[in-house]
Amino acid sequence: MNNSKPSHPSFAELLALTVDELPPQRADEIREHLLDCAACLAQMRELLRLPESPPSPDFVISDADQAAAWSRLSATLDAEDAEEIAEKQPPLRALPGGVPSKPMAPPVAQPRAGAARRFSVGWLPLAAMLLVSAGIGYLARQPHFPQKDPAAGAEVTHLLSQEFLLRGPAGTDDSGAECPPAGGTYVWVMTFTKRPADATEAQVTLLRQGGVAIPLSPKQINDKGQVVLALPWDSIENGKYTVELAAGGDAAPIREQFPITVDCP
Amino acid sequence: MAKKPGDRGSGRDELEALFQQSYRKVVYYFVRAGFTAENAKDAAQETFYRASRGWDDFRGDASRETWLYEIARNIYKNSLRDGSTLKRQGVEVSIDSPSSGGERDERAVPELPATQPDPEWQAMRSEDADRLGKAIARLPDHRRRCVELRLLDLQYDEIAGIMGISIETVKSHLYQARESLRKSLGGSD
Repeated sequence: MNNSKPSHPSFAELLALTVDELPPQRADEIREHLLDCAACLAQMRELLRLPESPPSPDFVISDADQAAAWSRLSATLDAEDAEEIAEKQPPLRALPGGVPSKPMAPPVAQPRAGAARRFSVGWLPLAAMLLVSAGIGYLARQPHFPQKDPAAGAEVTHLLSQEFLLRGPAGTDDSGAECPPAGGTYVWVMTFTKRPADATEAQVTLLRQGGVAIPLSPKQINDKGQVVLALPWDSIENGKYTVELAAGGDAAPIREQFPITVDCP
Repeated sequence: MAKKPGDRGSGRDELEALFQQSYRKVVYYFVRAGFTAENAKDAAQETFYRASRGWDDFRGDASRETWLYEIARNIYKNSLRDGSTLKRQGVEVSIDSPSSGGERDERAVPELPATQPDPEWQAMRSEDADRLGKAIARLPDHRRRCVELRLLDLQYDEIAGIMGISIETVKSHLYQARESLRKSLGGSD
């Protein structure tokens, strides 16, 4: 063994050694010291693993904190995976559904005998997307817009275009209009028809017809003006919904809605 | 498609199990490193995010939690170099021991988990202590320290952490040191 250094390294020095952020000479001195100082070596070993106990007795992470952290992480992963899936999707395709008289009152898709029941989306949002992409006109000029949302008393300025994606429980690309299996994630990739200026987040609200509005946590608006909404399939009950996106703040608010009917086993 | 924690199903279940087991510990790690509570939680979130994205890179050399520690350590290291991303508390505080460089209480040795005995190094210990000590002293510095730490029953990952080298390099040093020592000590096993 070698001669030990007379003075113990500080906690900060030991910590810095774990990330190799000490001047080489001092790092060498401390390594030599560790070989002969059981206390410092023991402390160093503690620093080389995740601590089992909190740094102080009053530092508490509640179960609710941990659950919320997991939810955030899970939602982030869902959203990124959904975007990855969206990248691979073909252009919008026609989905089953009748012609709605109003965007807020879409028809319910009737299950076909012998076939899996499925989601249906009013085709008007899809038609709106085509209109915009063709540069024909602005949706606000259409007869239905702007209109008053009687529930919120606010003006709905645009009709939302949207894509429709589903993902199976093992991350397979089960895109299409079939109901996902239990445990899957139901993913919408929604595109603002008018990109909210300077807005990076959208407030998403799920409105169930005849029920309450469920505000969801704000979602990022990506570079393509898309908002990805990923919901655990098990949390969605059959029924008529309106998904509403709001962004832009008070100065230039934009609210867009689209109807969707969920009718699955 | 390869299953990974970003996927639904068992991959995500594995990530969630690791999260439930280790989230608090990761937050504690960053607080111990001087992060504010909020920044520690953000850093923990980043740690698990990176773990999820690098799930398939785990080679199984150590436990998942050790791997998680390595990810957290890298985030901490990056934060030291880029103080703007995750601000740390201004004062570095010793959490669990005196740290001013003064004399440490030798009795305050924290309890450590048991280490796996290494038969080859156990055998080396049985050599004549004086001869072994002289032979070890002749090794190049890095190898000598690795050997001495191993003889103190440190695990490979702990030696790597102290030496600032990879586990693979530790193994390489130990292998070469063992060969040198065998020759010096007359080829005994």
